[in-house]
Amino acid sequence: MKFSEHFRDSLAYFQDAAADCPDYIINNLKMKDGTRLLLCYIDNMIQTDILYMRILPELLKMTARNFDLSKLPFGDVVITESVEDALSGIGTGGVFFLLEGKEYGFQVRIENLVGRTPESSDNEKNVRGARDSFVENLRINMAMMRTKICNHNLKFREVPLGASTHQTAAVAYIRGIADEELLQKIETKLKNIDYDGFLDTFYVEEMISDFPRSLFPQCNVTERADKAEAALLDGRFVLFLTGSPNALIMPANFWSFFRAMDDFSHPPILASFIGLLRIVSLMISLFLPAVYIAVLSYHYYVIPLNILSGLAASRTQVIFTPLIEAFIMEFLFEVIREASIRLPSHIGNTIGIVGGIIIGQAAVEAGLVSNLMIIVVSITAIAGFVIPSQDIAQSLRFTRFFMMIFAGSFGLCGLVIAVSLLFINLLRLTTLDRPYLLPLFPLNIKNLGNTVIRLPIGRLHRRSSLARPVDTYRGTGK
Amino acid sequence: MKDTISSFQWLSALTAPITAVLMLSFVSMIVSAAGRGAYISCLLMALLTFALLFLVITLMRLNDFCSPTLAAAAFFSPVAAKGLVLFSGLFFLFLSVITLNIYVYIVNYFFLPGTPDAILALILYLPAVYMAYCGLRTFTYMTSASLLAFFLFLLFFLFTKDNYLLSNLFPLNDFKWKDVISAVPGLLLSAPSLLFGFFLLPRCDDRNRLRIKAALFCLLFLLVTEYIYAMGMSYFGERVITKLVMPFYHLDPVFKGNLLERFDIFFMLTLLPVISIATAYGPALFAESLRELNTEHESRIKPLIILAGGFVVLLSALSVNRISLWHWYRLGNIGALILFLSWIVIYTLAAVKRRRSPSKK
Repeated sequence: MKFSEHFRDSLAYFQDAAADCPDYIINNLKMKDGTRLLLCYIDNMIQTDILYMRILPELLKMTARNFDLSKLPFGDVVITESVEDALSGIGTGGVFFLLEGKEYGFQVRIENLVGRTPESSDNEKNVRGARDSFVENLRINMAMMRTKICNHNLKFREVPLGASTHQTAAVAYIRGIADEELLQKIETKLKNIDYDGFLDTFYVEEMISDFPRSLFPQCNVTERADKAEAALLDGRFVLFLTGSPNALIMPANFWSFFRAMDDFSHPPILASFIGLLRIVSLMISLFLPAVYIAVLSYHYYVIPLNILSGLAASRTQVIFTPLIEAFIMEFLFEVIREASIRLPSHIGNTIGIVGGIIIGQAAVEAGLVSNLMIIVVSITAIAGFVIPSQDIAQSLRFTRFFMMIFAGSFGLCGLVIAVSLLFINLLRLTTLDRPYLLPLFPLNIKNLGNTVIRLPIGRLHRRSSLARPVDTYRGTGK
Repeated sequence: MKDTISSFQWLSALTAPITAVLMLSFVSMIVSAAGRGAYISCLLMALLTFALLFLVITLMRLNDFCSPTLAAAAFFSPVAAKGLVLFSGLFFLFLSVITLNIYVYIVNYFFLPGTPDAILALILYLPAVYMAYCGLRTFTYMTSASLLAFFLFLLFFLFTKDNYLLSNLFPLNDFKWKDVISAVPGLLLSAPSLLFGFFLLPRCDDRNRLRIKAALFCLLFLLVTEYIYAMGMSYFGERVITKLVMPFYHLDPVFKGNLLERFDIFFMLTLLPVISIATAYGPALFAESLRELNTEHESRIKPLIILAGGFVVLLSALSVNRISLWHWYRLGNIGALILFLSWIVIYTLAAVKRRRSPSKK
């Protein structure tokens, strides 16, 4: 809605908007020549000392005839032509002014950056390297990125989101490296979102994913500024959202969930070893219970006789089939894990002891499960925690049940079928139309050096082809 | 818009089903028929595949890489052209059901003797149906993945059973020409999955130097077929294989202490996904041909329903008599060869007509 010619009507709009909003400050001031000036802001969201000490004195000295915005000691002044834009600006920490007789107003952004200060991330821990992590304030997050990438080519494309919350999503990219076509695609997807509010970036992730119903995450979520920086240097995009400390990194491939920032603080051989360790852990986490079930139920002859006899002895007291036995233990483990997450840490530890030791021991003695099953489930659980991204670890935990059902029903042959189905599903997935299993499928040999294994940094001069970067070479080419 | 595929995916999508079919019946084709002379048969097979690939690419280039429907529409009415494409798709479905039957037999024989055939067929067919649902792009990824995985099996050469002599890999001294010639028709019959190329090439986004790539791929294919032969000879041994009724792999379910004996089952398990490609390309192409005919409604579920119906009918018709399975298999391959030749004729005539048309001049 455009501003009215009559100052009184415009004032009435703002007074109506401020009804039941005690924190909305509306002042009706007079300039030097008696022209009325409307001032509107939200208390505690702006730096009032700057407003009253520096901006207002300048404004009140002017007259309607010699009114000149360039005389204001601030550059961030935006002309506003509609009431909605004015209210939206006020809501995000702007001060709005409307001059009597004008059909437009102007906003000055002097927002008060309230909230917690950047701290080290609790969810993504590292041994060495930078520790700063994002906070809930979008501007602080942007400033953090600016301190890391001191280049004017670091851009933030802002898109308004949330019909009710009036949030802002900012897509960070480095001009000259990132693909503009992909940026357009992200922007279009964001603009097409029609929803009232976003409590976190996860909402946005689900709405812009190519396969929103998929089990597997299609964006990397991070709180760490160095991880976002690495993604930007790779030609990828980082999405920030007002009110969320989690940034989304797009596009993401399967292997990116197995990379930690620590990998670059280790020597390449060690980092490659850790990468392989994670893949082995993934295999153990995904397949160990299923292989155990299949071998014990159908293919016991693959176990050497001396091991088999010991195994048979441990199972003589167990009343359930391996499938049921594995299901009981895996289900119990998931229940304990879920319970301990929601509880305060000191009680959570107790739950772990009660669940892991007391119930486990009692279950063995009661003949519900065998000793070996306890070991299998424990190794599976620990292997699952080796994976750096909890998003994909959760997906894999669910997939494990699927594997167990197939293995329990058709042995190793069923397991092969389940693996095929899983693999087809992964091959089908795309993120921003880029294959999920890149650079392995389709094969891109040049980019294999930074997936599971890590080549020395000096040999990683080529950016990943995942985000189709415009500039593929890292460096000036000297 | 339909998904595009790379030239590597295109070539692997053609080679992988051939490899899979060879895997499925390599003993009867190579060992039983050709004996040790299969070394030369494999070479002939690679040359033949190259010639056919070269032919497909040339014909498609002459037709400016048009789709099979467009090529057929140069001679027939649009309805008849679509009917021909649909028929090809149905024929692929028929072939896949035959392959599935053999697949079920093998799994039933070696892994799950107590499981009913119908349930096994359903389970083994799941990946194929899922691939059909996902579309041809996913299928081509899967074929290239399985082809790459196939080469990892070279590791199994380290665990030969009979002896460790490298001379098993180069039996140039004692092959018999008669055996070689008798093996060629069997190998030839597995080639018609090249028909697949006609359906896939229009999607290939990188057609430059495709013929050179095809030549390189055929060298790769030569290695694969040689590998199959060598594996048959050195890993299993000629006598062990021919002892079995329908020889495939020798699994040894006895209690011996040697852990290497247990590799048999893992070897078999890693081969199963490769073999499943042979059953997958039929449904994938059938579903895709239905999608091509039905461009307005890009439903992924509808072709699957028809696919499931066709599968049940065909499976119940073929499963009645297991003895005639090989008969159906040979018949299916001959049919595929005829269909392949028919499409070559259609493409050739379409190319000729295109060149003679006034607009071209």
